[in-house]
Amino acid sequence: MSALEFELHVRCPRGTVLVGGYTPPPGELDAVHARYGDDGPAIVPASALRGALRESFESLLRGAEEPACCGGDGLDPTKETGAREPVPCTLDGGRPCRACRLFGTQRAGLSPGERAFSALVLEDAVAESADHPWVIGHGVAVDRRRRSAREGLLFNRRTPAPGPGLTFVARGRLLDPAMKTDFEAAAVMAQHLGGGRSRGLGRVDLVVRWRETTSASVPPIDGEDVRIVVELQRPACVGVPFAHENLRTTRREIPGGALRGAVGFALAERLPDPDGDEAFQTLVEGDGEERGRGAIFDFLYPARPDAPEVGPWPVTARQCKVDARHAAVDTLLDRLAAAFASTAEEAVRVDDTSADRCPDCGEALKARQGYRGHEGRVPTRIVTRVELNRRLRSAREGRLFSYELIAEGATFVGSIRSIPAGSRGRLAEALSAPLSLGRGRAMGWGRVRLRVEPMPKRASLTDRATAFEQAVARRFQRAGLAPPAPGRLVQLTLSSPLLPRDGDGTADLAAALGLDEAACVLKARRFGVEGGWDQREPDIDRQTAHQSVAAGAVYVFQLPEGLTWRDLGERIERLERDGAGQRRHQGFGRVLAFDPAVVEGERR
Amino acid sequence: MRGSAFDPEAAIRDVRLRLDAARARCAGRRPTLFAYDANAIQAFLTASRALPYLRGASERVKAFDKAVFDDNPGCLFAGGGRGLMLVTAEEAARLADELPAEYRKQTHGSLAVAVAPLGDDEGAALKWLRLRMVAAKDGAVPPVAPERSPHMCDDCRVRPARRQRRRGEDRVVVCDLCDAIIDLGHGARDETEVGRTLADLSSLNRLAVLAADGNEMGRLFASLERLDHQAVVSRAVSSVFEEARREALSLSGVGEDGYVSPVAGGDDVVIFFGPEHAFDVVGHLVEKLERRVDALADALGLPAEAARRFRGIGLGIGLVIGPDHFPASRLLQAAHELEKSAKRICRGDGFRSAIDFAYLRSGDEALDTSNVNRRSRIGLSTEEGPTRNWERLLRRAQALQQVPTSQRAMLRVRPDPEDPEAREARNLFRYQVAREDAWRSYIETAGGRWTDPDDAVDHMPAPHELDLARLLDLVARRKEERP
Repeated sequence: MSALEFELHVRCPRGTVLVGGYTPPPGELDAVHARYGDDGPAIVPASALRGALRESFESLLRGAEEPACCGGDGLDPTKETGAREPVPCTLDGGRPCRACRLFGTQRAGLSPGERAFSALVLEDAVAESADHPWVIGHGVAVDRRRRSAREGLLFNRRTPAPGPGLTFVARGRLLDPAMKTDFEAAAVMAQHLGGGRSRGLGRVDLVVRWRETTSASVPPIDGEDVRIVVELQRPACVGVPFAHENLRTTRREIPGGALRGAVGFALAERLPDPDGDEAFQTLVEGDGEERGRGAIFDFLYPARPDAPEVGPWPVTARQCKVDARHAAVDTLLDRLAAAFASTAEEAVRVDDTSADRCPDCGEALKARQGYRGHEGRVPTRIVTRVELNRRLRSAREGRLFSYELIAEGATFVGSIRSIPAGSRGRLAEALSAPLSLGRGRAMGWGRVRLRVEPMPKRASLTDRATAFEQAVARRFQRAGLAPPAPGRLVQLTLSSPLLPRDGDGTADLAAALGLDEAACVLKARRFGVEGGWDQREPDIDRQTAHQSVAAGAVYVFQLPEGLTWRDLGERIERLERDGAGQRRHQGFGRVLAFDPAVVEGERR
Repeated sequence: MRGSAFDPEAAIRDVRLRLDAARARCAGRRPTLFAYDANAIQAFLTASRALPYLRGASERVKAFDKAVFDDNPGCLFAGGGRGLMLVTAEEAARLADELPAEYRKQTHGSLAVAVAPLGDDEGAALKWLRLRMVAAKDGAVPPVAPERSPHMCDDCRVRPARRQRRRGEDRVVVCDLCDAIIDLGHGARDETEVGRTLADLSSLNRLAVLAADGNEMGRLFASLERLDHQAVVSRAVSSVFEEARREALSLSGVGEDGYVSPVAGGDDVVIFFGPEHAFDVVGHLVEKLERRVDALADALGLPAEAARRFRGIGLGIGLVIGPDHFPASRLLQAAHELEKSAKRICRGDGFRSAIDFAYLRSGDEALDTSNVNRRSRIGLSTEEGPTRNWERLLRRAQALQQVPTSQRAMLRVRPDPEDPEAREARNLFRYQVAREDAWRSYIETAGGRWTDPDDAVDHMPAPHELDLARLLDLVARRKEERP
């Protein structure tokens, strides 16, 4: 049976709501109700909605003498005494209790046959009226012994203005239609949301309205490669391999594995027999030692929808330390000239003609920030929450934690390439389904609006190589050095992180070009960590971490005498198409040869 | 020099002795300049929130530098994960293999090394060395690869836990590296450190993080064309920054247990401490550093241009007051951004030292310091001396602090001037000014005339003044708690 779609209407019959921690309180305010951006609409975060619904549903189950744990901790509060560490819930005869089936429980992976961690996908509820007025309310903490206001404890809170017109609407899907009645019962029972109940805040009525199933329209995919443009409809948290103790950060880009996973989940939800569907299985077939038959899901990078090239800038790119609007430069050719200098005098000439100052204002330079085809920072926000001990109805000691989200509205561009001919229909079907990228799918995080476009054409390899060769000659000439023999240098930039089979990636790239590792005359690279986690794999021991070479790394190979890049044309084109290193089907190891950004940077 | 542990004459003498000895050793054996520079050192120093780790990591880098300096007679300077040597080509080749491997073993990190043959022209060889170091930084041996395990280290969280330790009442599991570093941290302090984290330095859940860095140091070092000058200035800079930091903390009343400063030398200052000391530390740090630099400039035997540049050394300071549950690295990152932001007005507006600051609340997004008109950048001194801008700002913040917080809140939500409600908001502000002594006092302190309705509005407090007033509130509450 397919998922049921619904709208959850959150009405405030009297008063207003206050869900703190989502929006930073400016200045002298102590609490601000959640909203999107600085002046966006008020919202009720999905986590608060789920918490309220869950608490009501758990009470209902206990009233009916059915097993129910506390907030997914797997412990039966009617039987256990004292504090114990949470465990995966097995209260319902070895299965998770109904509340855990509906809202999720603490576990690292899915059981065989399962398609999601919880049956309920519920997004943030957004105020129906975008320009609903806001008010500041004041309060004083009262010293209960003296029965008077406590000194210095005036607090100010900003909330949507109270009134019967205050309504929020959340969209969602119920993946297990058998739980329809459970969900409706939870909604009827839930009457409070957020904080300040003792001050008359948070009284709500929840109404579920079931909707017809909808699909976005995505044109048929008729080519091997397509460009993907996604716009975040809801905030997204894209997992990092190692989280800090009290702060979970987000990546600024969306790995190909996240898009591939979302496509896989969408199809698994829709197909009656996903494991037996050949078109689906071929589409998501992974790589072994060699490139497999499956499609390559490239990384999605922040970019304007019309950006011709996306991804991080080369490691060698520099920008003004004082004003990011000043012209950027690239230092690769300076480094190349320095590497070829054989005396101190030559080195001084290279140094004297190097781009070590901003061409516009003469200030110092720093590593270029951001992404190609994208201006400014990727908008993020930090949400702070306290983990509650539902049994004691208090905050858990030391469990204040924050997570970082990419703000809704951010646009990302990437591609899906080498799509098997027989799987294109399946891919179009998946891309028309509601897709969520990154973590928190059950809360609707990372829901995207997606557009499929034809792949833009790049300048030909010959044009790029010629431009690079000319730039090298100009640079060496400026330093009074003899340029390397024409055609003997091959420059490569990593457009996505590379998971090397060994070492720092030089061997993988050299092997792809049919060269010896020693042919690499210059490398500028940084290192990162990439995690690996399959939600269908419950064993946490199977989660992995690999050192990666960060995207933007630059390599220059010098070919043996008698060879030019033209002799390696086919290999270079194959390297650009298939990438290098491991997990290429997830977009790792994508390579751009004779990067135009290097030439552009030198011209400036 | 009076008041300073750094003796320029002794430093010059020692550098020249070492240099002469190194030259003698290299005679006829291809003299070579060798430099090393640790990559991502701040990430290593602030990988944990535990105080023993934060202290121990600095000790480990210091110990590495000291061992390099002691073991290599040709080493002219070693500190802050950086070093400069004059050695033979054979020694350089050996060191290029050994030092990165040793550093990797000690810290799991990556050390860049560069060599350049030394001919007759020391200046040219130094330039060549610098060029090669730029490439070496991005070409260095990779750090130790991370590992996943069901039981990860409670401190760094990126390596498998191998050992159990007691932390206060609790038991924690840590990796081998953190275990060794925590031992060093305890050695540097005492057992009372066990179990303490950055949160133990905070006040009312707020922690101050100060990051400062010498201004125009790159240009200063690029102007030094002799090896002995490079070495002497490196040592002098390292010493005066260290001394100024210690003195500023001591004069501000920050006890040894009240701060942690995870820096291993050079021209960096990083301090995690209680926000109630922030104003004093900033003031003393700038004053002490500039005074020491001024006193040393002519004693280092530098050419006139280099001495002028040395005399001009000032500080770019970033100060963050942030939530104490954030990772150390994240708070430090924000402080560094503010430090760079402060440096902008040093270059652009001719200030010798400057500060930019922010009061981060739980939930604040990453700082955006790119706004060229950011008003929280304050010039602290010029070539002529202190500007008194900081004191003036503090006075305004103190005046603002007297305004009831409910009225300060009103300022944060004033509408855009283009908004139709702007007129009403301005009228409300005028009304509050007319009825509230504290507002009138603030307008006067800010140099405005409260009797003029338009002038009063023109002197409405800026966001950074509200931030400072909030910090003053915090200081006052802290004093109430611990008189």
